[in-house]
Amino acid sequence: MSEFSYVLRDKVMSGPHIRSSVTSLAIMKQVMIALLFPTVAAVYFFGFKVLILIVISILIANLLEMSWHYFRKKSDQSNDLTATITGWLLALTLPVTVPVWILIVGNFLAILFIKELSGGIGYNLFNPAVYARVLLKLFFSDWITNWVSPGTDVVTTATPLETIGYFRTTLPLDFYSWTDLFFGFNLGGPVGETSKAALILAFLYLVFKKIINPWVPLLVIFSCFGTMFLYSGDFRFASAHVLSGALVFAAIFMVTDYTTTPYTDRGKYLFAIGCGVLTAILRIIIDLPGGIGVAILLMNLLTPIINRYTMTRIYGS
Amino acid sequence: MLNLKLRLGGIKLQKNKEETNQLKSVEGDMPPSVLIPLSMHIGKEAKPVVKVGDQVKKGTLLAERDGLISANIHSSISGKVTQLTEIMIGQRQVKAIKIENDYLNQLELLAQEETLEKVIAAAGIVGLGGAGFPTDVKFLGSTCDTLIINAAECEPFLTTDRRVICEYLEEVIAVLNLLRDTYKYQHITLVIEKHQLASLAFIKEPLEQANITLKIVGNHYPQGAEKILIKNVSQQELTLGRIPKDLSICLTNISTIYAIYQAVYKQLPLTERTITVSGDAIAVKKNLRVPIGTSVEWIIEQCGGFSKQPEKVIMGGPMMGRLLPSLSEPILKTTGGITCLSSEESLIPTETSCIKCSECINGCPVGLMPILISKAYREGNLARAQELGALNCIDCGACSYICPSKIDILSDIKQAKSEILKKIEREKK
Ligand code: SF4
Ligand code: SF4
Repeated sequence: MSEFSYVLRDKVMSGPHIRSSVTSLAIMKQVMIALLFPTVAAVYFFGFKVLILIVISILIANLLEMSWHYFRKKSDQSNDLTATITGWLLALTLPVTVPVWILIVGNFLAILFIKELSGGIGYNLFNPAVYARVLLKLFFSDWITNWVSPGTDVVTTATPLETIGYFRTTLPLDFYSWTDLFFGFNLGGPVGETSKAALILAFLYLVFKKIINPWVPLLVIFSCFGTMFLYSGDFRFASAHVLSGALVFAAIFMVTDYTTTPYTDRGKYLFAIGCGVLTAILRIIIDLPGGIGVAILLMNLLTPIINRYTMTRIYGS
Repeated sequence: MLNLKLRLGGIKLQKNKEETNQLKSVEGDMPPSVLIPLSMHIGKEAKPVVKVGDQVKKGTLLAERDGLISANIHSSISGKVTQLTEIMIGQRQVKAIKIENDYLNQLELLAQEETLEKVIAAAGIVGLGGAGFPTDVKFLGSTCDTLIINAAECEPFLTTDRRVICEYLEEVIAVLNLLRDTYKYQHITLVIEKHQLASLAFIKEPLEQANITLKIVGNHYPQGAEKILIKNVSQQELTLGRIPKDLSICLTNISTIYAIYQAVYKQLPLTERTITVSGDAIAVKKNLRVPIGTSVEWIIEQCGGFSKQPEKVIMGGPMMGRLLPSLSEPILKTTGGITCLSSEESLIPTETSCIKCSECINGCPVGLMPILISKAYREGNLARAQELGALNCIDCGACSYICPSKIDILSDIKQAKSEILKKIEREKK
């Protein structure tokens, strides 16, 4: 016989005896690579300070999670990168002028309040980054809505969405040019959200790597566009809404979140449509941008119900 | 509700068949002895009809079927009965007969029988796809109108069914014609996986001439599972507890068809079979014809031994096969292959938390939500696990394979199933 001998190490366990090579960690790494696209755009438009803010936010998020695990004696848990992603996402939804203490408060809400208090990864009902962002908006609006234009001089400006306003059906005459809206030139706003071009690259990357279902972001965008079109009857107006605000960013990075959205594809589609339609409605009736965040949280609440009604059909039933 | 269509999920996996696909099946050296279990089938163990010291030939009846659901067992070599013993196969203890090879290669043929069923029964043929259901019982008074021949070997590494098509197509067709004449099947369908189509192009014409439909199914795993095949071929579904016969369908594996050929036209009982010996830890991969009862150890030796430290030696394929505790176990009628994996190939990383990626749900071929069943089981909620359809699980392992968090979902579901069944038993009493 050969020099190798066969010794069964573990107890005899049932199959399958092989596993796919994809790990959860690898998936998170892919998401991080996708986040590089809007990040590079953000640094290009708003300067290096953006990078510093992102790094600080990631550090805070990890620090909070690690101390929680230490405190709860879960110290054997290895880093699954989800805190990093949450911190990163949160930073991308804030303006370049954001004070560091806001990052601390935001990550505190996201990591401890939402994620860890619900039981850690996989258990939270709300999307941590979205939840933190919406609460920051609600309570600390003054510190996170001083939008600045790209460039060296810090000039406070409005975001495109603010210039459209609510209860309108047409665009203001001096509205932004389509190229500016698409690429993110001369736009104020949250650092990661202004360049749709960068976001589309991130989207393609995630789809190509099979991390997200392409229909989910597309349905968010189509349904928001459709609702706006029905409301205004104006193609340009509806298009402007798609290209303004956090819609595209959230559709790609937040509505596709695994944990807080339904299990089945059908459920995910319903969720996505709900987010798109609700965003449109909120933008029409409320004088605040950030509609998509609220829409996502509302839909997060519905996730268990959607799950119940979109169970898979069992073979032979 | 919103769930009208069942998506036959399934998963993509590394098939690892390229290397053995083209390998003609060969015979190895005769083993010095064989150990033949008296139960390689579903149903009652066969009753021994020989005693220690008896001289037997290849094909001599060693044990007789006991009751309807049982099968004859024949000697696979010529030699002397040296031992009547008991061995463990998996969790089961079964009687086994040891035969010492006399290398005289004497052969005993089957006696003539009047009906096809009797021939099949006399030859001890059981479903070679893995289930081991006595084949004559399957055909007994068959009134089905569809016969499905399963050659969609979807388990990675295994290529024996494919070798049968390549090497014995004529023989297979002859048997199918015979079965059609005997049982008046209206449709006979041979099922293969799509990726085999190109290299099996030569089968199209002969099949067409014989009026046998060729059905090509996707490359997803597990396309070869009975329930999935039925759905694919007939658009019908088997509800829980029903068998193919209820849908007027008879299903057989292609290797079984070849065994029938041997019995009917050559008067040979089922005493040997082709197995695929593969995996990255084996020195020379082979499709090997071996006498039933040959030890795994001997077979590995025939393939040049191990080339790497073997971490897992599996009876069958890596998805649904059984991990062998030792190499002394014999090859059974239902063994399709031996898969030897090194630790690189078979390492299972530690489990991390479920990230709700839904991969297990999208991949489940019978439309279950595996993670929810696993969760319910871990929370001790058996009723919920049952409600979620735990009993419908076909043990394919697609969910465990695909899970990025490496959660052993199937093992949870299996335990849930066995506890649910026990509970049902108790309630019946
Ligand atoms: S093992 Fe069971 S639950 Fe898992 S994928 Fe296969 S049938 Fe579905
Ligand atoms: S595949 Fe694994 S991680 Fe994904 S939902 Fe199923 S159990 Fe959770």
